[in-house]
Formats: sequence, structure tokens, C-alpha cells
Amino acid sequence: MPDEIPRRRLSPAALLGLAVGVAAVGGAVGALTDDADGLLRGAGSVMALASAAGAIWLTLLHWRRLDEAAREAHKAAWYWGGSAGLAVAGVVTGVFLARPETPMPWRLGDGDAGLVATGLLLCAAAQMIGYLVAWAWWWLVRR
Amino acid sequence: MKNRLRVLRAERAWSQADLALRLQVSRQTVNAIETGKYDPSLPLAFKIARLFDMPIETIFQADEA
Repeated sequence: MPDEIPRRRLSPAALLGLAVGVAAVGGAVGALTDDADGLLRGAGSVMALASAAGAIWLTLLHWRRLDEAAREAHKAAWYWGGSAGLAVAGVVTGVFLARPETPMPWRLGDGDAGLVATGLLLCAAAQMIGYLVAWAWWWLVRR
Repeated sequence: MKNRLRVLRAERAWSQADLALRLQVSRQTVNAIETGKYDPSLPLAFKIARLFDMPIETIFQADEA
């Protein structure tokens, strides 16, 4: 009988935290050097890209170290929570289309591009909120 | 799906965390399987059977069985 306890490596949660941290540092460097000139801006962009690549790599490691139930929770949460979030975003889209005079309390950037970016961000946020709620629900009913 | 995981684990005086380490899954996963709220995949079911040195069907039984 295999009775030996395998050694544990960096936990999936720690890897995910690292990925978020690396992405945040890259984003901050990119934002801080966005207004800089020449070499500094280029270096900032390279660092931001390298951070994004590092964050993706850490996320893949995180996924590979998750056990099957944790993966199932993520898949179910993304399907049900993400879809529900997108449905909410769809209703909001309908409201804005039906009432174009609705005031925008907040938006990203200027012009049409800013409006599109705001819409994309809100859709992503609605999906993320739905995903987090569904993920918590999945584990809550299996405690 | 019903299973005897909790009994088999208790017979060996293992905690859920001990069993989780041996199966290389999380303690939450072991708990979800024991309470019948999550059915393991075939590979994990085989791993459990190998760990307890028993046939799968003596550990897991279909609800209608």
C-alpha cells in the first residue's frame, strides 16, 4: 500500500497570489511609464509585457496543481456565474439602448473609445462577480 | 453515489488532511467525496482503491445498488 506522504510544493493559492502580484506590478510599471519618453517608456512596456507573460505562466502552474474538484468548481463557476453575469450585462445594455438619455455617472477615457472600453470593463466585472458568487456557492453546498 | 471512504479512513486513524495528502488532493475535496456531494473521477477512484488496496466497487456503490 502506498503509505508515504508526498511532499507539498507551493500551494495553488500561493501561485495564484503570485500571478496577481506579478500582473499588478507589471500594470503599475506600465501605467507609471506611460507618459515617459523614449527609452524609459520602452523599458516600461517591455517590463509590463514580461509581467503579463510571467502571470500567465504562474496561472498555468496554478491550474496544473489544482485537484479535480477545484478545477470542477472553477469550470462550473465560469459557466454558470459567468453566463449569469453576462446576462445581467445584457439587460443593462438593453436599458441603455432603450434610454439613450441615461446619464453616465462614470466612464473610462474620452470619446467613443472610452465608452466601448467602459462597456467592456463592465461586462468583465459582471462576469467576474457572477463567477465569484458561483464559485463560493459550489464549495458552500459541498462542505 | 455512496462510498465507505469515511469508514476506511477512520479504520486507519487518518484525518481528512492525512488522506488528502496521500491522494494529492485538497482536504475540501476529501470532505466533499466523503459526504457524497462530489463524485470523484475514474482516475481518482482508482487511486483511492489502490491506496486502500480494495476493489473500487467495495468502496463506491451506485445509489440504486
